[in-house]
Amino acid sequence: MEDVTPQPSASMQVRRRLEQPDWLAIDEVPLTPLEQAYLHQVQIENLLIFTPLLIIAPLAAMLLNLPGSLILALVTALLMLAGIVSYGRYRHALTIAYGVFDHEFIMQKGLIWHKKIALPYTRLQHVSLSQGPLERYFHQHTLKCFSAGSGSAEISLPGLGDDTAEPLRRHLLAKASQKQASQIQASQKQPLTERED
Amino acid sequence: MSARFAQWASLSPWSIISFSVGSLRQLLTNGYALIPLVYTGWQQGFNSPWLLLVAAGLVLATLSYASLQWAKYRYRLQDAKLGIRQGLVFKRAQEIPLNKIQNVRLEQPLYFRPLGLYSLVVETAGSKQDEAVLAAVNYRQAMLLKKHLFASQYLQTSPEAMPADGESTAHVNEPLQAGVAATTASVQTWRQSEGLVVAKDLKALLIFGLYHNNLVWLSIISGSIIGQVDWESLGQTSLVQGVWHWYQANVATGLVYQILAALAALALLALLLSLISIASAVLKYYPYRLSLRQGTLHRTGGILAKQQDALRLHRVQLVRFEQPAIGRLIGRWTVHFEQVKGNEVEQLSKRHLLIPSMTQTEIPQALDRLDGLATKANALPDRYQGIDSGWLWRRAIPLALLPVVMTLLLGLTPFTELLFGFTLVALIGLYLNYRQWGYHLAGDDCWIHTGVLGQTWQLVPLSKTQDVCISQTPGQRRKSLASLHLGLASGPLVIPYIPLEEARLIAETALNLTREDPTNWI
Repeated sequence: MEDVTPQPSASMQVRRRLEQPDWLAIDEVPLTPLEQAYLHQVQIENLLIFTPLLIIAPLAAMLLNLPGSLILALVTALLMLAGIVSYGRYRHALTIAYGVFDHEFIMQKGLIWHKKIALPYTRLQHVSLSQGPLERYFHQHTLKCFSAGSGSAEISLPGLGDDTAEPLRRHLLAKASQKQASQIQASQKQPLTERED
Repeated sequence: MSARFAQWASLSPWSIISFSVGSLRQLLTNGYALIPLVYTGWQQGFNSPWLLLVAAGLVLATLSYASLQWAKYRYRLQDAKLGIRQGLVFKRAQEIPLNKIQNVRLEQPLYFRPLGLYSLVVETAGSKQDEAVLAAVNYRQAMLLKKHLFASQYLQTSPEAMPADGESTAHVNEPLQAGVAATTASVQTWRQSEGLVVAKDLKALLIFGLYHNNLVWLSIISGSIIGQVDWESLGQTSLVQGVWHWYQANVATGLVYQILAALAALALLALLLSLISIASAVLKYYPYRLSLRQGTLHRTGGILAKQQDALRLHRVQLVRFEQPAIGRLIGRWTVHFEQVKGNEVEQLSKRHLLIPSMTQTEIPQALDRLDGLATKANALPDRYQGIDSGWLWRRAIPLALLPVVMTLLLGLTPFTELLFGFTLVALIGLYLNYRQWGYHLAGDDCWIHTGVLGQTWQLVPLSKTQDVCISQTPGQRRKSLASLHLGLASGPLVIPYIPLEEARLIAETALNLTREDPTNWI
């Protein structure tokens, strides 16, 4: 993927405004899709949500002595709902992708509202990594990136495998603190020299 | 640093008053529920012994609690830290490193004015809950404390907390002006571009109260009272009967008269509500003075409680120029300086520092003075790029279909007629909203224009953005449109249905500004 070695960021170049055709806009850069394991996890989640519902609903209807046609209609409606929601969740999982770049972290998601979110490392306040019971079974993690102000995470990226989640978290934190280090240096008005890392 | 404040010291006993007021205020703000309670008490008679007993108990409990709070409160200044210990059951120890202090402000609530005492509020970069209040200090003590708080900071020269050009001692070297002690704003050094930025007289504040009605807030309170009034018995009183007869005899004769009467009643109601808001504006802000010292905005004023708010200019995330419908008619703007969410200047009402009653010509004059803002803008733009009509159709068509479908299902009943009426109003509102939604990119600043009857310009310094998001629906993608979301520390902003290239331009400008920006933005 991208280089993980810290850049000599203290050597601040004069910021250059590129002409528009030279940019690779944030919605055009290539991103990494999630692993297959996350898709399995989503499918299992779907099963766990809808199987109990599909068993309980007809049973309850029978106990309530509803007419047979109504039960049939109810089950059909539930099956259709389960199918649509499950397929939607599956397709949504397929759209999630992320990319680690020199200066920002980019994530895309969304089936109907297709979103590309970019979070510069300079604005990263803290990073959290969480794992639910099902995620633990599938060895998946959810990464959340927070900025200031709002209490909710700007970026919430599920489906990271054991071997990517922790290095990614460490890398993001390193990038953020590296930017902060350069911030302190700049504010102390020290001569900007190359740092030995 | 002298050893004067090095030992643990307690506050003056007068601070019991401020502790009592603090807990009473907490009690009151935590319950609009108290209003109906008081009302029922009024209905049942206030001389009921129970009520007196409860009131006496309440006063006693508040006073003794406040006394305990005072007795347990200790503070000291040592090792470049302000230490505070408080709490009876839940003990709390605070240590504020002096170089993390963002600002020190003096407040004089009404109940301290006869005593000539002040509350010294120490603000830190964290949340408002973390700020420390040293209540009931006299002016000399306050200035001395302020000197100590800032002096050590000056010695340490922490560039983050203080722009290091030695001005931190400027406060203290000034001779103390005993006569004008109340307006601490007068103790300051006057420099170029520093000093008074805006002052508003009584007339300007009256106008501000008139156009800046906060009706929603009022209706919340009045709702609980109106619900308890016995309307039927009120209708039986001779006054109401008399008015009703007069109305039947003179006004109800023609439709034109009835409409005129309704309009007059509405105008009267609006005027009444305006009077309340005018009164509160004057009580809260008169005499309004906004001055600039050391890159920090200071607002002073207030009749009931003298207040001094402070806000560092570089902490302003967004400048919002607001013009409600009435303000638009008389050409006045309110300027809000928005901070990090949860860090508003006025903690309880979540309100930002504002300049009331600004005319179109005053805005450039004020903006010119505020060099510390992250923006280069010096006047309101005169035009904006509108959003695509797709935004309107996407919302208008489902909305218009609702009454049509209901009519097909139910037939033309009073309910569907009412639904048609509401839909029409909503459609007009939607159209006005669409017409006014737009943006204007000027260098590194992005202006966002919104509004329905009134209008609002939001000035976004793109260097303050925290995250950008471009979102597209399949329909938008076909027409190569996109919605742009800008995440700021003051809250998210959205510009919907703009051309994709424009969204990219703004997003990339923001990213270019922030990706290597080494300075602290909050």
